Amino acid sequence: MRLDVDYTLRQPVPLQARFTVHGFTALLGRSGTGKTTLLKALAGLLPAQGTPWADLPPDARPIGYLPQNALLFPHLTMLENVAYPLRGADRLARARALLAELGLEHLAHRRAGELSGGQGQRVALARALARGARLLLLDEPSAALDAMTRDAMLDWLIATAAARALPVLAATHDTAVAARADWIVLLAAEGVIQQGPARALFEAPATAEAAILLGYENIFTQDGVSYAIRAADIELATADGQPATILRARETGTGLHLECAAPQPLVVHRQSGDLADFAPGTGVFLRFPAGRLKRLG
Amino acid sequence: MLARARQGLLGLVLAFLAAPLVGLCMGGNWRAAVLTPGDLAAIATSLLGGAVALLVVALAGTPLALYLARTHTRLALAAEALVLAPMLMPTLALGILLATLYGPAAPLGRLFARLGIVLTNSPAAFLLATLYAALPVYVLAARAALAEVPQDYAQLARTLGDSPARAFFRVTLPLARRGLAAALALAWVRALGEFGIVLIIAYFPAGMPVRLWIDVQDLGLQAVFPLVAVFLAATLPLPLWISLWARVAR
Repeated sequence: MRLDVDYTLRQPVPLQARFTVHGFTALLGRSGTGKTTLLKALAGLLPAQGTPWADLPPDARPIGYLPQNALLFPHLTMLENVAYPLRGADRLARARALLAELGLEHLAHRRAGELSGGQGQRVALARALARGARLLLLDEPSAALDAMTRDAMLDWLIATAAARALPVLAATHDTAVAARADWIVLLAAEGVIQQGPARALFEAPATAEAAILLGYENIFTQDGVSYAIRAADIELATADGQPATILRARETGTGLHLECAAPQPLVVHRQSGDLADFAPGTGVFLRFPAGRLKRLG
Repeated sequence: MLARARQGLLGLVLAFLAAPLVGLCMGGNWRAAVLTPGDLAAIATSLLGGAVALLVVALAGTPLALYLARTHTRLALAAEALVLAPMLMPTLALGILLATLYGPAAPLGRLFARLGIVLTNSPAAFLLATLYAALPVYVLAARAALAEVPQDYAQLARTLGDSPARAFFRVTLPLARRGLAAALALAWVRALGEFGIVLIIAYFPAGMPVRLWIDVQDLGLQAVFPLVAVFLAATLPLPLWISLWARVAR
């Protein structure tokens, strides 16, 4: 389940991206960096040069494209939506069999407006699978879903694609989606800045921009070296450690959120503690456990 | 009190607009009403000519409407102005201009005549007049209907294996069908009701509007009510139903 991609675009934004799709791959980047543009170029909906398939029109490319919000055809039933890419007299029967295989047959006669967000995404995936794709492109698959539905839908999608040995490229700005991926490609304005197995990237971002994309809240420079550390990994020490001053503190659903000056601004998440102990101006000591403080290139 | 005044005003405007229908029921001597052979010929000319014109309008106008709906360039803007121009002209003035272009002494008129097609006072001239009347109306209404269908659907259809034409017929057209039907209904009414252009370049064979004009002068107001009733029966019910159907769908 591996596909090498090398694409160059001039419009609507100039972009050059070279990366590999391994299994379920998250294309992670900020809004406006060109994730959707790259997906549309791979789908043949925008002009581009490169490999694979750049010289083919969209209807000749072996891809399945799921845009944001599923985009099920409103004038067709779900069965007709899934049968849309199929040809032949038995197309409805084959579509029904695919819906049954995916546990969606009960949705066959509904229309788009009668489905929940998660149901719509699943039927849209069935439609893309009916196409016989060799690569599945997902644009912000979690955009219209709540967290629980998102997680359930992603698990189902990853299992379904894996069962078919179908590589998936999911464009997202959501680190929760990236955390479920086999492979992550980090996209910034200048192109791909890092790619690799998901766990390796989360453990070792290469640059400050990579660290931000991977959800590191704290990035700072000390003695000419840049570091990144997650807010939840910073510990409060009793006496030794980095002295810091509390600037702001507030309670959240999962503990305390502390904004400190050390002197660089740092954010600390504590799962326990009393808000009264961290009034603005309070002096504290911060400890960065070995292995949790990441040195950036 | 303000609400009552507003209701009163709405009632007055609606009554003003509905008054002609009351005139239809009350104004004619229906016992002596009869359609003359000339009336029957005019009905046939209008219905047949209108039907052929509608077919041409749909086939030629839909691609133009799609282009205007999907293209946002200066060229498209200029094209839209060209479509609007015949609609904005007084119809008599347009008829005169068409006569100078397609008349027997005009360059285009002579060219068509060599091909055996006479474009004044002939069935072809009648068709030409109805096309100039109905085509702009259809194109602008169809453009609005097609613009309401998000392009994303047709693009997605491409990724599902459809050519651009197949995506249009399988996705865009069905999603725009109500608006396009309303556009066709408007074009039909415009085609059947055209008088100014037809009066100048296609007095013969007479369609229903010209025939009504002739009958009013020759026979008087009372005698034309049967033809008026047929005219309204041809132009009101179906387009009215389609327009309401299109509106209900939104």
